[in-house]
Amino acid sequence: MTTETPEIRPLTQEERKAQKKRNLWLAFALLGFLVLVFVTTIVRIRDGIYWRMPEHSSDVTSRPDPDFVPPADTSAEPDTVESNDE
Amino acid sequence: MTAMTQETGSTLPRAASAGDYVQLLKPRIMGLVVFTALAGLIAAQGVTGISMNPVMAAIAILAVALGSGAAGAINMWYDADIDAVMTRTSTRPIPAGLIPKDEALAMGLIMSFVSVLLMWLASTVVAAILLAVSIAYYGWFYTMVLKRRTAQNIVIGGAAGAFPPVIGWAAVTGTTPLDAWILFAIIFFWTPPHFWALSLVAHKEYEKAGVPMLPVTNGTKRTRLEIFIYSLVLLPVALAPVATGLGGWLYAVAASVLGVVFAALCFRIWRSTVGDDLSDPQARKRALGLFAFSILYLFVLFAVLLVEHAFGLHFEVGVF
Repeated sequence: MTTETPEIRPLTQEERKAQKKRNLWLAFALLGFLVLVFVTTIVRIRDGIYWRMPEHSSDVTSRPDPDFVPPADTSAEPDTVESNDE
Repeated sequence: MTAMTQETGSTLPRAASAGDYVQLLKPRIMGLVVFTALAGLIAAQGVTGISMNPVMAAIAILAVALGSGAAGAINMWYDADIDAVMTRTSTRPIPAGLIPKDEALAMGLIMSFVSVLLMWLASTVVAAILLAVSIAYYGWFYTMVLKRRTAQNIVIGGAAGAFPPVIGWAAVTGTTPLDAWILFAIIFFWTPPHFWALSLVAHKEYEKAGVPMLPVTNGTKRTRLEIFIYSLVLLPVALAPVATGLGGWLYAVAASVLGVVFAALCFRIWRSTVGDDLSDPQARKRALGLFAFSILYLFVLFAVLLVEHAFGLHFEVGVF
C-alpha cells in the first residue's frame, strides 16, 4: 500500500503577510482572554473581602450574592453576652 | 488548517482578512443580541435593586457577544452549501472560498466554550447555562434540525434569538422571573413577521436552496396572513411589561405607538400581493420597509426599557 504525499505549494508574499497578521490577532485574543480571567478573579476576590467587612455585611440589596450569610462577628461576644445564671 | 497551506490545485481566491472572520460571526445579529441582553441586564438591576459590578457586567455582555458570534460561525459552517446557492449569502466567507469550513467550525466551538466560561466567571451559573443552551439551540437545533425540515423553522428557532434578555437578567440575579420571560416572548413573537418580511422577497432563493420557508411551502398569501396574525399577537405581549411594572409610562407609550404602526404595516402587507411578483419594485420596497421597521421596533422598545431603568425615568403606570 502506497501513500501519496500531498504537494504543498509555498506561500506567496501576500499570503505570508496575511498569515502573520492572523497569528498576531490570535495572540491578542489569547492575551485578552487571560486578562479577562485575571480581572474577574481580582474583582471576585475584592468583592468577597468587601462584603465580609462588618460595616457592609448588612446591605443585602447591593450584594452580588443576596443569599450569602456573612460570618458572625465573634470578637464582640465576650463583652455583650449577659449571663442569666443566678 | 489555515487558508494558506492549501494543497496544489485548491488555491483560495485571496488571503482571508480580519474582516472576513468578523463576517463569520454575523455582526449585525450580534449587535441586536448584545443590545437586548444589555437591556435585560439593566432592567434586572432596576427592578430588583441588585447592582452588578460594572466590570463584571461588561464581561458578561462580552460573553453574550462571543456566544452569539460562535453560534453564527457554527451556522455558517453547516449552511455553507445552501449559502453558496443563494445570491444574498453567496459572498459569505465560506462559500466565497475565503475561510475553510473546518476553521469556521473550530472557531465556533472554541468561542462557544470561552463565552460560557467567561459568563460563568463574571456572573452566575444560571446565566452561563442559558448562554450554552442558546448557542446549542441556534447552532444545533435551529441550524441542523429545524431549518431544512419544517416551515415552522423560524417560529421555533426564534427562541434562540429571544434568550439574550433572559441571560442578561440571570447574569444579575441568578434567576429568571416572569419579567425576563416576557422580554423573551416579545422577541419570540417578533421574529416570524420580521423574518418572513424578508423571505417574501427571497422565497425563490430559498426554494432553489431547498429550504422550506413558509412562502415556499405554504405560499406568499398564507405568509402575509401569518405576518399580520403575529403582529396582532405581539401587540399585547409587548404591553405585558406595563402590567407587571417592568415597563413604565415611557415604555407604555412607545410599545402602544410602535405596536399599532407595526400592525398597520403588517395589515398593509396582508392586503397586498407582496411576494407574488418578485419583479415588482414597489412590492419589494414594501416588504423590505416592513423588515427595516421591525428592526427599529425592537431596538426602540428595548432602548426605552433600558433608558427608563438606567436613568431613573421609570414611572409605573399602575395597571393593577
